[in-house]
Amino acid sequence: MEIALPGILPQEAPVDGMLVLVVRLLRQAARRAAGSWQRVRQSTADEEFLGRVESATERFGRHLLTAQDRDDLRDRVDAVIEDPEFHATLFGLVRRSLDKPGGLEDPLAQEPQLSELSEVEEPLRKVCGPASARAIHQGTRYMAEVLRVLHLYTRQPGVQEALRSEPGLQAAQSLAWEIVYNPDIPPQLARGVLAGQRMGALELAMLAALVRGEPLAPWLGLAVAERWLEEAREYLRLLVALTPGAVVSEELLPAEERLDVEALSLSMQQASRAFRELVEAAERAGEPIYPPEA
Amino acid sequence: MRVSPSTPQRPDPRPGDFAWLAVGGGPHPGVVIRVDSPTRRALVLYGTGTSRELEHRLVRPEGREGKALGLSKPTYFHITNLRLARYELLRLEAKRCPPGLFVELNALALKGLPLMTESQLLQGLPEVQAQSG
Repeated sequence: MEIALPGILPQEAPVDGMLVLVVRLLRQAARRAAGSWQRVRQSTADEEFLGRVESATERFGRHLLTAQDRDDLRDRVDAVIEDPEFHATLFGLVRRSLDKPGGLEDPLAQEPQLSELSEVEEPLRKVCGPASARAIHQGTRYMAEVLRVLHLYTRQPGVQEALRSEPGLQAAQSLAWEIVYNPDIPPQLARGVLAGQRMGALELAMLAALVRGEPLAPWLGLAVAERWLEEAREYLRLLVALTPGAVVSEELLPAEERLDVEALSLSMQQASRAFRELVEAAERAGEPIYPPEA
Repeated sequence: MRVSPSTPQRPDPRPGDFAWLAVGGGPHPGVVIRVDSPTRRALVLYGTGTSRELEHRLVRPEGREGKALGLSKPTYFHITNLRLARYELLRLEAKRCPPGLFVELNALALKGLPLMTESQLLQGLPEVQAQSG
């Protein structure tokens, strides 16, 4: 069995675009504390796309902010990433950036600036509450690394082409789920794919909180910040594993926590063989359900 | 002219499908993990209402995952609750295992698969030993 590991994530790259845009919108929202989106709109096309993000923030971000407890928040995040409109928003960004390279949200051409993130940290602390300060600070560091490595990832041969292919753009959600529901993809990598999407959903919640401009309930602010940090860390593990040449500090990602793609690939080959042996044993035994009852 | 009644074509199971599987005298809720089209067999990780001293994933009925699967009680998906069943023995329902849960159940199944080899089965599955012990 062969796993085309470097090629499994091109459809994930829209998250890169989402993050870059969210950072810029967070910065805008942070600068103005709250209010309309008008000042970040630069053209009709930008306006159309930003309208989708605004709508996604309203629909998904606010939905997450009405969570009743941490379990509910977890469930709501998963409900968001399973919503086709969430994926349509991500892919709308890529389509938009391909149509108009160099535009406001041109994630494929511009490397995000870390200074953009530092502007966001303090306003996020204010809405998420003092207890979330550490998680926000750490999350911002992971987010910066995610953006940097994802930028490198999308520059690997074949990834840009995959991104620009029509089926890749049109079948956003189904492609993502093809990875997640593929039993031959190592669960560690599939978790990373989900983490990237969950991270994007939580950023919409943060954006919604900033736009609203009111502090969240302390438990909710902390829960959102901690989940964001957790997902960013998991997503970074995936990206580093799939991006040759990506260098990330040991402090952020200790060696023992990194994913060894070759070892994972080998273990999946062993699992595939074990499955094949099981099928052959069942056929030899002629049992409709195998193993039969003892 | 006689027209034979048409039988609706049963869709083949896919990884992530919810299915009922008769194991141990009763139907159990399960999730299709892998399929083998040539032999028309599916590897199912099924759930039970009883917890055992084995690695497992608990799905509660009141949570989002439990609702998606239509579970009526806490259900334990143990590492050894794997069965390879012919397609026709699965009672598929129009439900999908949520993606996050599928990834976790697949991880469990990957750990459980090596325990299902013939040599391991001859020694007895841990669940059988646990039940008889």
